[in-house]
Amino acid sequence: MPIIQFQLNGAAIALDADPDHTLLDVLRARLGITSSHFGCGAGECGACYVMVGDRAMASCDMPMWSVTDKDVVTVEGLGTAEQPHPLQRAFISEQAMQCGYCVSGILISAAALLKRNPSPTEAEVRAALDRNLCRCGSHNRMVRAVLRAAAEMAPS
Amino acid sequence: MTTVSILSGGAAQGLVRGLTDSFKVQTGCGIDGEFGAVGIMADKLRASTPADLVILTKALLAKLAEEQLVISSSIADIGRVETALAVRSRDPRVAVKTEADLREVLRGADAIFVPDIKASTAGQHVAKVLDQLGIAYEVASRLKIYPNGATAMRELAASTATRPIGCTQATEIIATDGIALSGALPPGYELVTMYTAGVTARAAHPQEAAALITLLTGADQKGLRQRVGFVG
Repeated sequence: MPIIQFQLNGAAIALDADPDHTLLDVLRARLGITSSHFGCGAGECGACYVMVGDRAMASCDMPMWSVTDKDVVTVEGLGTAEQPHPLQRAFISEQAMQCGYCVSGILISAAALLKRNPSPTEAEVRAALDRNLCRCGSHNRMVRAVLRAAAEMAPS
Repeated sequence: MTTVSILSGGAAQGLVRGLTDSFKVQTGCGIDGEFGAVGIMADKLRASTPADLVILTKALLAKLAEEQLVISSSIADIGRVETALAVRSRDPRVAVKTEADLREVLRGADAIFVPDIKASTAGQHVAKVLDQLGIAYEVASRLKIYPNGATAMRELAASTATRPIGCTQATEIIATDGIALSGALPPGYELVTMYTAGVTARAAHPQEAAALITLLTGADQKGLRQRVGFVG
């Protein structure tokens, strides 16, 4: 199998992997990166989203060959328990989750949005999270949390 | 590095992958993408998923152009793909030349691996074939349905069933290790699908996407297209 090289959460990765396996499979089974979840398996629910460059993309239908030389960020790369990302702090402050299964994908969509647009409007936040499904119905709190994080991250 | 982002039917994954290096040499650009059932990919584009290029069935792409999501003048045919049968590499190939052969093979299988029977081209066709053969109810419990053909074929390769069989686009069968192409569907049941590429109306990199279409459809890539399962 060929060696596939990419950046994962800021670290260089060189991995002997089947180019047709999905990024999600490799993250979870090979690399122990388990924040991204398997949901629908068809790229429709957002639970498996990772950031590629500055875009949130489904990793369940993304083949490894297309990850070559890309910069991939998962929730593990956003922050840590000791030093959470402003989005993670805001989600806790707003209690913006119930079961939590979808939250890693939603954090990634929000982080990608803030990377492209540091001061989004509420409508822009809603549009950015539109492709992420949350069965618990926590979207309103999530929108508030993203706006809160954007405000915190804004230069004073 | 500029990256051209693709939403594509799974049938074209092997071809796109095979052209990644040439595209990088030619344009300095990378490719990333999501590959799955064509209906789901079209819906993703409708839901504003960022993409520069789509590769879908000709009919679906025409619809997206009507919806002004794809630039009509950019649309180009890539090639045709047959829906075919697959078996594990270690199993004997099945010989299906007639309707009766097909009925016998499907009735005899203890697991039938197929992609999404609502959103994928091959899956929709399998559902229709089972109806036509009058065995849809009989084999329903043995149908193993996955979100896309690539996943269905990987699961076929790993299957521990006694007599499993798969049915999806030939390109997805050829691209999967551990399984083998076991012929197209017989007369009256065959399906040949034209795959077509187009630049999206909201493409961030339309020129690069157009260059990729030129590469995908180029006469000098005919050999690669045939190797990965396109016909004609």
